[in-house]
Amino acid sequence: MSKIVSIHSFRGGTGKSNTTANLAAIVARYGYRVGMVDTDIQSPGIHVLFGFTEERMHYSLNDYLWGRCLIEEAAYDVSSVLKETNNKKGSLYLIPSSIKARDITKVLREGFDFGLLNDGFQELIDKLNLDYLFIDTHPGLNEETLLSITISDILVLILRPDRQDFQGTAVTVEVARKLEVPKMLLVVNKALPILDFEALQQQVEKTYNTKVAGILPHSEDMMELASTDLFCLRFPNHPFSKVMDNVAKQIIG
Amino acid sequence: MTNSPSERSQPNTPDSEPSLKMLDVMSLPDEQRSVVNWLIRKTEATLAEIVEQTEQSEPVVQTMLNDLVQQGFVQVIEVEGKQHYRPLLGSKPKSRLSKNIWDALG
Repeated sequence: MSKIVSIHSFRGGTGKSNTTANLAAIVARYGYRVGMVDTDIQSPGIHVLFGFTEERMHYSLNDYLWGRCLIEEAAYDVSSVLKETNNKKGSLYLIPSSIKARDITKVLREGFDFGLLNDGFQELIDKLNLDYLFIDTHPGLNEETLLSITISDILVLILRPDRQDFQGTAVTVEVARKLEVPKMLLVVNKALPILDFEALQQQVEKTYNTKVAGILPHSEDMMELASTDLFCLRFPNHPFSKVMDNVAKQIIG
Repeated sequence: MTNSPSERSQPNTPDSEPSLKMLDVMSLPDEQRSVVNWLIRKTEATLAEIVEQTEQSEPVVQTMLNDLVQQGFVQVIEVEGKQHYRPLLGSKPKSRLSKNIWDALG
């Protein structure tokens, strides 16, 4: 049975898009058919990790929402990134949002139909025969992110070990509980090496009464890569990648 | 070929203008919120499926659905001769910013 996994954070800059891309790729590497949709229409970014430019995006999620194409026409097979690590059964698809300024301003100006967006998620699962659909979300609470949270089988909340993130995560956890998300996982990202990761995990789990799937160490190697590639596929044995792999296993269950 | 949800029969509830906002869902009583959450995930369901999901009696569920339809949060559509209930999700609202700003952006 297909599962929808939303990757969310209350604040921006926590690493949602990188986490979505890397987690989705790892899950695909295990042999699953995986889709990723960028619902951060106001500030899209995950497409960068797959080398997409304006020219390569013939159709985007925006076009689907404006009735210009079917949702599956805005899906791009990016399984080639799995390269030699690819389990032959695994596939990876990206449904990007448009990076064109006029498309972003059009959405801001005219809005779009949430019912159509919701239908699109299900159609993607059906048409691409997906095992997992990862949703990369805009930060914070708004209609789009509330919709993503509502339809998710698994909600992955990303936070940094930072007071603003801690407070914001409390709000999101409360909302997610009200929306009856079946499974919620916390991922602490950009944790400095001076922190006691074990103590941090216990503290976060106790504070939110929610499982911490992993604590991702702050990585200069990751920063140096600068979203030019999927870190966990490029460096599968890096400590960062091993934590991410463990998070992926908890998603697969 | 099965039609996509957005291509299905026209709704047969009056005044079925999409009006359900996710913030509305949060404000619903627990039982109604639970049903609407589930309907949003499923995109649509029959009365029988909703009864099975909620484990409540059909009259109770029907009353709840009638209320949700009345509020404009759920619509009734016909799919292959059967009635289905579908959440009437609204739209991301249009901007209220000055037209001058949008015109400047082109």
